[in-house]
Amino acid sequence: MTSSSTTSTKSACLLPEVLATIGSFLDPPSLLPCLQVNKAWHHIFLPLLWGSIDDSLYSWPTILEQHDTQQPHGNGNTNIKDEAWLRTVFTKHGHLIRHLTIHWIPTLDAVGLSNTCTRLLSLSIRNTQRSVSDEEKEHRSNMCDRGFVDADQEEDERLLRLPDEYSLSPLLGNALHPSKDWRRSDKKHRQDWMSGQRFWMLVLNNPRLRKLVIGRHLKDLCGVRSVDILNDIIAGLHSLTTLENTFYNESLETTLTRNLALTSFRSELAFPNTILSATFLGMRSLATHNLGSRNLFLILHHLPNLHSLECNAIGLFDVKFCPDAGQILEGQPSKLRRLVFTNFLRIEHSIATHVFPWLPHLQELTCRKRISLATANALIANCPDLEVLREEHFPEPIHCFQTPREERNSLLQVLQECSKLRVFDTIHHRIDADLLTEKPFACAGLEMFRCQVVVTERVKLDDTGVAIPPERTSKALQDQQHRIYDHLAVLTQLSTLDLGYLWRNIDASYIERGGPIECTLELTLESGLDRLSTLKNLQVFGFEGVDFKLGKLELEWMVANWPRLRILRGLQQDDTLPGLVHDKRKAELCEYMQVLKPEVQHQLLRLDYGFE
Amino acid sequence: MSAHSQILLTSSEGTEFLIDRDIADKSMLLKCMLEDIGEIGQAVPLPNVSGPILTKVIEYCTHHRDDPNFLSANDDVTADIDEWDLEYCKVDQGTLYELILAANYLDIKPLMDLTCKTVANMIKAKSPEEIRKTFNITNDFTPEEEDQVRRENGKDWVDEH
Repeated sequence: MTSSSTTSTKSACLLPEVLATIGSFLDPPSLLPCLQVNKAWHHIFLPLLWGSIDDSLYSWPTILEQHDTQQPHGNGNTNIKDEAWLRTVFTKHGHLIRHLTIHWIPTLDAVGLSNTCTRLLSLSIRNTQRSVSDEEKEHRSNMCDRGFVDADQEEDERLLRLPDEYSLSPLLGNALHPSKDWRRSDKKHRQDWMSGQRFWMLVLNNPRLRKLVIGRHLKDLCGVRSVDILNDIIAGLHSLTTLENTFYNESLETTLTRNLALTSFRSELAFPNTILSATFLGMRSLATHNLGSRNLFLILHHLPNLHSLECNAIGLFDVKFCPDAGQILEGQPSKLRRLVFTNFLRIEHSIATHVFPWLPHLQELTCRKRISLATANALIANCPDLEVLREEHFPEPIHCFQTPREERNSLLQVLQECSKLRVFDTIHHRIDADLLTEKPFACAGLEMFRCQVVVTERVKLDDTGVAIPPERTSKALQDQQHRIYDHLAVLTQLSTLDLGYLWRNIDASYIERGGPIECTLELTLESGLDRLSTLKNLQVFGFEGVDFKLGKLELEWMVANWPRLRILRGLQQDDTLPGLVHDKRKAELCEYMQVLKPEVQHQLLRLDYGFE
Repeated sequence: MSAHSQILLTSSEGTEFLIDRDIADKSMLLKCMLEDIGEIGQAVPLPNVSGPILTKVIEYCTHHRDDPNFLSANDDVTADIDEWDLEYCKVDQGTLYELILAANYLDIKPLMDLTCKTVANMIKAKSPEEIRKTFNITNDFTPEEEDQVRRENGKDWVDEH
């Protein structure tokens, strides 16, 4: 084979499609050197580098912020790009961009002025950043001094005065109006208006768009004069399959009727009252704000192929929960596979009783609050295909033993009954160990177990339900821990096992609730950790907030028994919490792990929801 | 067609390989050919693939025989390569390139993606000069041109924060 190596090296590298496939696995920092290799490589890799531009990534924000606020160039940074640079790069490479995500107005302006971005397949304008230069601050403070009423009236006059020359086209002039914002100086106000029109010009210039995201911040730049014209513009995008519109409010029915190719639609705005009367077979995914219970069933009926539904509340403001679901659905259950919603306590029981029986194909459920026993029972009774269960609620006080035991352990039965469950992502949930070990898991294929196990032998309740540290009967405590590990050891497919979470919200509750929880697993070999040697697929092991007693011996055991282990949670120094003293024991264990297996990282369990 | 039927393949040197039909079906080229013309009862010649490389390809297809997500296996650009696959790709560069060519020719997308991902990992964090050395490529840019490429193609924006 050696003899043919040189030839094949050459020929493989000369095949442009092979290089293009290789390039598809590289990010921009790795693509840039490829461009400089030689002329042939430059030709192949150039479209890959510019194919997808998101101005919130890499150094774009730094460049754009300097440029946007027009900070003087003398702040020691010689790398400042001016407007000309920005315009030049987009003029030269705009035709290569297929996917464009805009967070910065200067990007929108440069793209608009260059006029070369005409081959976009997706265009998104997200949370746009508007600069507040010193000049703007001064204007703002002047206007504030003069009182709101005056300013508001003057703003109306200013809109009338805005000269026609700032209108990019008669069509857009009829469709949009400048935003009303007296805090902006005349100059910035005109610029905003131009930028707002440029976004819509970009839409008009890209008739092959498949995805369009119009975030709510576009309202800072322009307002809607005619919904009909904007609807026409969007309806002109015949290939559009994904639309997100939080810029203007339009009924779901109109949106779907005008854009028959749509498969996915998202809006943070509430739909007007009557929701659907016609059927749309193509829709797969819908995300919206609150839904009345009747509207929910209308959606399930008229979008028969809907796979994913995300909404805020369901039926929260209904006087009476929709009584005729069966009639609306004509007895046909929905094909919905994924549901995300906020399960407000007030309405949760009604949803469990009236909605889940119509969702027999549900595979994934995400609830934004604590899942009650009623929902858990409804899932077990109605959703045999459930694979993923997520709970994203704020943690309750740690010693919340006042809640009745059955309700507290509401999710236990899901583990014991739902045989297809793969992901059990409910880190704020606590399950009592004695109940856990009573009955085997039904879900032998579980890949993620994220839940706290309360070692009941380490906690006793007084008469009022308050937890008090028990007299430790070490035999009973060890026996219970052994049983827990034996129980978990059957989950041989686990790749993630998180057994605790450290309360990290900096408010008064942090003082009250922070710190390790006492009634948790000790995680020592003596207490039976070695029974988890069956978890050969384990990659993530987390014990944040757990009052663990593991030491070097246990780390050695983990390295020897969990060959795929890459992430540990629980030993890192948490610098996000105030007042924490440096934990010498954890630091030593971290260092020891570094010696044992350098590729193991120490990470926090950061949840991407809830904590703002 | 029985699920256990077998197909005879001939490598470039004329070596014959008898493989199960479901293994052959992992290659879109063979799958379409066999569907179009049926089983012809004689060896299918693969003049572009040598015996040792065909052995490697068959090893890959056999390992992933019952993989339900075979076709979407390497779609996730950022995902780490599976351990077995990682070991599989520990071959000399010449073999790796021949595997790419074979996967491309036989149209086995997951193998193509896997081998290309492996090459991509070899490129990551390398300078242009290091890449040229790795792939034995001559630089045909003048220094001025090279500088211009750097300037115009986001030397600035691709930097990490």
